[in-house]
Amino acid sequence: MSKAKITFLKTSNAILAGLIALLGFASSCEKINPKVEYGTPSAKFIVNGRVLSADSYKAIPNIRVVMRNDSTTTDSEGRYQVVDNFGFPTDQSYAIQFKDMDGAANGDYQNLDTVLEFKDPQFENGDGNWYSGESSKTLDIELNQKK
Amino acid sequence: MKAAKISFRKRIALHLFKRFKKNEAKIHQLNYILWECTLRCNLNCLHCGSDCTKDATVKDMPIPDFLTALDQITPLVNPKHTMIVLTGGEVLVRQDIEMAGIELYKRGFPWGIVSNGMLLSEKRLNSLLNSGMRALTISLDGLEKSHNWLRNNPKSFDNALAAIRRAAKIEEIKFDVVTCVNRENYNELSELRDLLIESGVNEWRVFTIFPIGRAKENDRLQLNPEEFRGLFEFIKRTRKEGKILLNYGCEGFLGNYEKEVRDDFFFCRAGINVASVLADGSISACPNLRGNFV
Repeated sequence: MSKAKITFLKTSNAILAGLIALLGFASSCEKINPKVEYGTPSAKFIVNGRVLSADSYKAIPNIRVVMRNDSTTTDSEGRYQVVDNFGFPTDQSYAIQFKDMDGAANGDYQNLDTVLEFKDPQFENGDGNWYSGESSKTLDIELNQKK
Repeated sequence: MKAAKISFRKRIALHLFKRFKKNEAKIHQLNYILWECTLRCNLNCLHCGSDCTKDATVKDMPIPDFLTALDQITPLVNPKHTMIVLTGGEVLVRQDIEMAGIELYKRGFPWGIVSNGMLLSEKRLNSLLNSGMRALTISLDGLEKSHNWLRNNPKSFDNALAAIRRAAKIEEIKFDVVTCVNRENYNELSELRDLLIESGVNEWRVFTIFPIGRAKENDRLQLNPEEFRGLFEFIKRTRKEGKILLNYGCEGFLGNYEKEVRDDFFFCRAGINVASVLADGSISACPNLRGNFV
């Protein structure tokens, strides 16, 4: 069906809805042409930080960091960032794992599991609509060397 | 029983609405897709319209299969205006609903589920919300005795009510309770309404038994004509009170009760705006229209 015909039919229906509303069935008019804004509330939760040696306070590269559906490895300065792109805009609790994946290459460190909580998170750069924006936290970690 | 006459004003409105429906059918814009994602169920309801089963060997449709179908039609639909509703069986017996939800969300589709509430713990609810769930419907078919009778399970009422109270606190989702009215719960509708209001529920839908599935075999499930009229009067009174938005289900033209017990005039949108993907992969206009029915 051509766009012009669809437009014509939609216009006809808008007029019909108006006439029905005039007859006293106003909510029907609204329902006929629902302006329902479908969408899903969402927010981005960002965690970044550094991974350091507990003994020397030196950065540890190549530590694997896992948070929910995201994972990364620390860079040469021990920095990392993991993100939950599809979080719900309310209090959140994330289990985060730090794993030494390269053995003795950058020092042999114990793995660490921890939990980071976002309490009453504040969001920035939302779209004024369903997307609330992003909230970030810094989590610096010190790993102990394996004995 | 004599049917009440339809007023002249309403007859004109219905005539205009008939024209409206014809136009809608021509436009034929798909905007509501039901996915019967499993036939497995943790209950054995007397009125079930699905071909559901407790047989764990019945395989669910894999998520990628559904997504592939969805991706194929995406050029024809606007994801933001196309609601995906997961139904069953009992949706929450599947452990991978959240994965499906995240994939739907990535594609821009709002999605929701219909559940009996048995497995909707706080943890599972949060998990669903974190996966982008936008709408939730929970069934409650009466007070404890009548609900458990229909649901065939002594714990189903407590679980459903707990799930309802939990869900009613979530402001961000479209949430409603749906009740199948039958001869066992017909006389307790007022109490049930008060219970829902006290539980924080804002929207309630009631329907009567569609004689399909196991429901067609049981006389206790069917209202008689007087009870039907009583039900519609109850709905009218409740709507007038305005404490909870009550609607009668989508089935059937209701004569003079049109627009009195529902927000809309009767318009079955199955096959016009609504499509269903059934558990075996077949495509249907509505899950109530199964292979042995059409």
